[in-house]
Amino acid sequence: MDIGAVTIEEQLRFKWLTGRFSWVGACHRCLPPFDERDGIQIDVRNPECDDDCFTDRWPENRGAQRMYIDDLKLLRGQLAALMSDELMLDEKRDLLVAMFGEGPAQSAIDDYAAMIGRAVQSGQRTVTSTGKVVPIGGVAAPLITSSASAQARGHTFYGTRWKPR
Amino acid sequence: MKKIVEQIRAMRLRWPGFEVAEETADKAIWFGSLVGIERPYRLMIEYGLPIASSPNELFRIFPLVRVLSPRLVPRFNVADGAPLPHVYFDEYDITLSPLCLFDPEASEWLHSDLIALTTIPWAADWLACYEGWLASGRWHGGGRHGRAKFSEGANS
Repeated sequence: MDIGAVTIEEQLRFKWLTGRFSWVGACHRCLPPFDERDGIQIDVRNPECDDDCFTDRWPENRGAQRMYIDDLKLLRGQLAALMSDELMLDEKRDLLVAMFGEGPAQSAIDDYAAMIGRAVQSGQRTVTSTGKVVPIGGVAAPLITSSASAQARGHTFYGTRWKPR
Repeated sequence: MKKIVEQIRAMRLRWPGFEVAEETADKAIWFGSLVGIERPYRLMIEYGLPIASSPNELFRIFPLVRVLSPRLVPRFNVADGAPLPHVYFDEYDITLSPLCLFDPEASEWLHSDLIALTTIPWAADWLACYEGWLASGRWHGGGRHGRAKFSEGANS
């Protein structure tokens, strides 16, 4: 799968987000183009463990293979959506829910939101030239800081209390 | 106290994507975009120097940041009851409520500060926490709620 258009920052962010589903990232990197593979025995190995054959039960026949390929295409589209900047975090949560179920997806999103919040609260973050907030000390920091803008000083979110009418 | 021209110069240098929509000797308005976590948000920044004839105009007390698009999404069923986190609620259009980016009672922002080095990165912080709030239902950015000192002025 061609991910050449995806920036390193996006890949790292995606890697963190899918850290709870590490096999997904591996699949995303290694998926070959399946479109022309009908009729050929598919053999996809776990890049982290060659003895682990993802396709050991597939395909049993061409119909199963077609279903398998369609599933992979769907997965590829979902992964591309997760890596894009077109969806907001809550929309990506909905996509993760569709892919993995409510519990794991919400848990990963909650952890991610908490990590960002901690970075903002502690000031351990940098703001890039686009305004993207990147935690310092996380996986992306060494690569991001070279192109990032100066850190802002600490601050405390404020606000007036909500008064329902 | 920083002059408006100084604020505009710093904004141009630090955030060249923000365009000045209005500029006078005592007021400026910028439009520009910031990315919180995932998507860019279009913002309006309004700031004016304090003047004796309009001492209560909120944008002359500190820079006002409003999110224009995508519109903020109020949630009326969240645990703490507030449909948006850390804003000065605008009674006419809640989605245009100015963001509460710092504690004014702690003097975290002064007119001697540059908007480019404070307000804008703080707004990015807010947007990142807002996206997390939308997705998780919890505000993880900390902060506090103060007295109603500024609540009536948001619609100035």
